[in-house]
Amino acid sequence: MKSRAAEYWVIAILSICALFFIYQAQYVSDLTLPGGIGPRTFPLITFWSILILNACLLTLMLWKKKRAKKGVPSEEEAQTKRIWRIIPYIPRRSLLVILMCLLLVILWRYLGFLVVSFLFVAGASLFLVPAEKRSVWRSLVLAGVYTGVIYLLFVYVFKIPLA
Amino acid sequence: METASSFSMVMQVLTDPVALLWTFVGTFMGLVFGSLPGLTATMGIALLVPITYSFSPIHALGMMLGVYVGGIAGGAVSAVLLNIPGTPSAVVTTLDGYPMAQQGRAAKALGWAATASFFGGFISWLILATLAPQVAKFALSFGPPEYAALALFGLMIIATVSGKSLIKGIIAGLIGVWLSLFGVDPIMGDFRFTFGNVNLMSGIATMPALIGFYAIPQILQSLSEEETRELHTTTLNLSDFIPSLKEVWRHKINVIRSSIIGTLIGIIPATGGNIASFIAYDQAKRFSKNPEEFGKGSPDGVIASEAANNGITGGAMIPLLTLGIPGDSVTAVLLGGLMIHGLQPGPQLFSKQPEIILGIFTTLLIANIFMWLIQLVGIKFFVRILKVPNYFLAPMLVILAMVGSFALRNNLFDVWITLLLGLFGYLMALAGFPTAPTVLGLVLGPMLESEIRRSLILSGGDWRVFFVRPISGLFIGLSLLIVLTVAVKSYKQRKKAEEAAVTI
Repeated sequence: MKSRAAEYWVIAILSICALFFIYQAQYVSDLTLPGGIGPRTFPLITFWSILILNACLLTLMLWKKKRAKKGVPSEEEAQTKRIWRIIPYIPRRSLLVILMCLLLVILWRYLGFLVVSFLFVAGASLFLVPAEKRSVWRSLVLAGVYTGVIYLLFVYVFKIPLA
Repeated sequence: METASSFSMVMQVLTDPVALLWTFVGTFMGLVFGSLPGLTATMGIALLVPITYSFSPIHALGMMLGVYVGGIAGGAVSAVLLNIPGTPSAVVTTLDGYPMAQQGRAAKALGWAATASFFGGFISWLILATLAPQVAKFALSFGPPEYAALALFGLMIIATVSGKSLIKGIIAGLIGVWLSLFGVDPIMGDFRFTFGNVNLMSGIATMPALIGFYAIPQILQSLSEEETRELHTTTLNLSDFIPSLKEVWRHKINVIRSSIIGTLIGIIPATGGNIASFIAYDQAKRFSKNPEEFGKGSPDGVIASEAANNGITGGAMIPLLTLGIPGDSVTAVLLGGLMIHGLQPGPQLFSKQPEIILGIFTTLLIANIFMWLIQLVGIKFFVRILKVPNYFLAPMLVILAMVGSFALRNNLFDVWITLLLGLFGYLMALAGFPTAPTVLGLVLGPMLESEIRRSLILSGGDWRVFFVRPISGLFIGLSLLIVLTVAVKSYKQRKKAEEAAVTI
């Protein structure tokens, strides 16, 4: 049941993106080599296929839902909160990491790798740990050591610069 | 002359301490990734390929193949000690491995798992080294229609069998193809869907996308699982770990049969270690004198499963190296890694860069030997690693994923790509869409488009070119057959389920 909301979201995102790209395809050259197909054809086939298959999937889901409604709702369906029928259910810890990842990438440009990596590992290892096992010092040391090792490895051993 | 030059190339790898070192590191890291439930060999390769950006191809190959071999073999550790397969291919190992651990024979089960994995890998390596050059010779006669049909076949087979829903599988494959459409058109060189962004002119880079699809969703999913790990290690007596030669000899038929099954299954796209180990286990049970012991802690069960799932490593490399077609997500990521180092697997690689092929063969063998030795010496370390909770690992893996994406072009745009595709991959996973077809679509998309268009140019726009040539016709026919079979099968299953519901 919780996955159904996610299914609707995937279908919606894909359909909107496919429509947008079909519109954008008009700006792609329509020149074709003799006997061949142009740069626009293959993308259009891909986007239209996604749209058609999305429509099929949605129809199938709605049809299943309609049939299920005729009977008694399942126990899982009855227990699922109304909100998770609209928004995909994401566990608290996963959601926290998603938000922290977004912050990490946004702040990387301004603070640099060393600072954002330290803050991310320290913050995540502090907040993800169950309350009874939490230790600020352990999280800080872990973040410092891990960030330092990654930085030294990439920059000095593998010669790959990190901003 | 050819043999002498081949021998010298093999010796070059064997005597290169740096190549040996990276193969060792790769195998060790692979075992770590394989041992931990929730982390897989695919994720291991995706996260560790960025480390190899500055390496020579042979050193990079050592690292990647080491992770591959170690990642597959490592799955047995948690399968035996926790009853949780470290990788999907170790599911069958739990059937007898965990009961053995409960009976106080954990060391024996782990020892058999490591030894059977080594033999599985070694026998599949023998088949790879014998068969691959012949297949490559044959594939030299392939033209654009054959490659287009092969790419379509590879994509269709994984899209149809990797998920529960046929439609979702095909959509997932098309998402991958979609991601491969950005940047320069492969035939005419025009820009497509760049939106004036310089970063999109060379398309969406494969590695950041692969890291996004394979690392981020798995990390997020591992955090949602409750951690109740109960280790059966109190009786881990290491003197029991290494099976004696007499014991190995007693189980020789099972080892050889399971390894061959694994290799042959590995050659078929979209199959994977779990199918191979199921079939090998079933065969081992059928031919066993004591079939009643299976499922209750029989070493033969562990041997069959592990020999077969490591037999996959050599088998899956055959279509990858000879045709450039990855059969599963691990080899798709491996292909992405090879392409970063300027290597395009296919028959041309055999004729133009034989030293790379020999390097791959040699490294794969070395990785198998390292995999066995590392487990023999360091099994206690891998047992200890199982105690590290996910909430400590997750932030570190996220940083490794982000750094890996950034390091490719020193560009934050790639980090955004990893994050956004990772989040979308997570949403897809929540919705029950398989990610393996997306990864394959991403890797095979450019090949599919360019070969279809080349075929049509060569045939003057005649679509019959795909059907009149026997090999391309065969693969297109097989693709259609698979789609139809899966569609009919799922329709019948749904009907059956509906009838059962009505009866209740």
